Amino acid sequence: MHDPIAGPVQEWIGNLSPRRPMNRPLTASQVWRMPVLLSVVSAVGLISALLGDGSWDVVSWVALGAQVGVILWYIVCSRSRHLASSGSLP
Amino acid sequence: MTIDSFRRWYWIHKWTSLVCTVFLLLLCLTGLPLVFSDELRLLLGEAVEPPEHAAKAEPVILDTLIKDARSRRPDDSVKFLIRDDDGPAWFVALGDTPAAQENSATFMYDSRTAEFLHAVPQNEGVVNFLFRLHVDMLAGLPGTLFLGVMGLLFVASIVSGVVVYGPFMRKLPFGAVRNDRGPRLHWLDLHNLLGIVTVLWGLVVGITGVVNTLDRPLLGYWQMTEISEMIAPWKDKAMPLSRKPVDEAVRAAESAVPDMAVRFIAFPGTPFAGPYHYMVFMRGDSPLTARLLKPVLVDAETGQVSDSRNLPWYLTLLLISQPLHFGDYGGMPLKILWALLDAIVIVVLWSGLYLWWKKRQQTAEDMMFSDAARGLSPEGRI
Repeated sequence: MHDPIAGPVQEWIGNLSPRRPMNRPLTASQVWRMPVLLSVVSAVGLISALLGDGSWDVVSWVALGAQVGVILWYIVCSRSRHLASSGSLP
Repeated sequence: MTIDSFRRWYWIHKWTSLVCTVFLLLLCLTGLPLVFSDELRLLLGEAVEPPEHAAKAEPVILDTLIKDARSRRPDDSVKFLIRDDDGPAWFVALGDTPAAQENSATFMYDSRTAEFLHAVPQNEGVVNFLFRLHVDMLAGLPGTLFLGVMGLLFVASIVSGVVVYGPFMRKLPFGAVRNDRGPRLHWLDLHNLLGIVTVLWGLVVGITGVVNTLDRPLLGYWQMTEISEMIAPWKDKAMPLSRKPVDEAVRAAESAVPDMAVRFIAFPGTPFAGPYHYMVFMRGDSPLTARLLKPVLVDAETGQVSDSRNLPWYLTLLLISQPLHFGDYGGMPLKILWALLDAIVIVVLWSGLYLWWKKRQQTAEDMMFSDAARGLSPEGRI
């Protein structure tokens, strides 16, 4: 059955798992949406702990921790792909 | 973007980065341990914490701290009385004269018992050395201002880096790190990924760092304009014969702004108070307003409030910039994240240097644009 949300969601998820270089150039919005999203989350993280203590601090930890997490995610993804394509994995 | 404007931005990114990279590496490497400077000072014995249980628990008479500090350094003058941010403690800062820029001694007292706790080391110790390297490279105000210019170049290199990121990423999905096409492409992809993810943090820490390099000029300007104005009516008066104890000045300030608490007190003779007054700096009690200050001018002879103003916008900007640069406003987890992001920026700086070095080895000038050129459309727009 066709799911109307599946298209955009899959596009988003596609963005999350880097593949090999593509032939068709990306549009500006495709290039910039992750950087913009991550910067907005960073801004929330930087400001939140200034405004209050307790849960405000936790928001900061999660938002800035997400940046480190995103970097690790993409590095691990690219390594496992590399291992898979070079035949070290079954 | 046309290929000409891409070339221009690429040139800006290359040269702003090259000029500031060595200094930024110094700042990032010294900044890494300085994120934990409070913890390091305690660990190295350069600072102490007040004991957990005090025998008495009533507000101490501040004048007894002043008397004790004077008896320890009879030839010195009291400059500041500073309340500890985190614990039950007061610091008394002394100088050769009240107007001396350097402190001759700083004593720490328990705010519940008035007990002497610690003489804070002046200009010595590992943390202080790292701090001086980070703030002025041991070169005083010129060093600080120079690092401010390097900080501006760093901000320009981030902005131009973002501009050239777009064309570079036209044919690559976000976060792609190519491991199988040689070390140069591998490090280029990492440079782009680490750089674009930390871009906002880098901009904020860079800009607030630049603002912090201006602290002495900004305070000097404030003192020459507003403080001079506040103490102007006393200009030709004779020096007072006696001075009210600091506790009276604090009580007067507290009743003038009842919703705020004392942060520190500048003593008569310091540039922040003038010869006839105490300047009591009050702070708010919410996490945001605790960073901001309200100066209350108290006549040292009568103990009456003479004037009280809000801080000018540029000092408010300076005070807001400090936590955003230090990362000390969200507990230990935020400090750890600050250190991790700092380490990531070190990798961005280092990989940028490596990429520049590799490119120098390529003779053909066109190779410079080979990565971005794959995103070019036939009419020469990227």
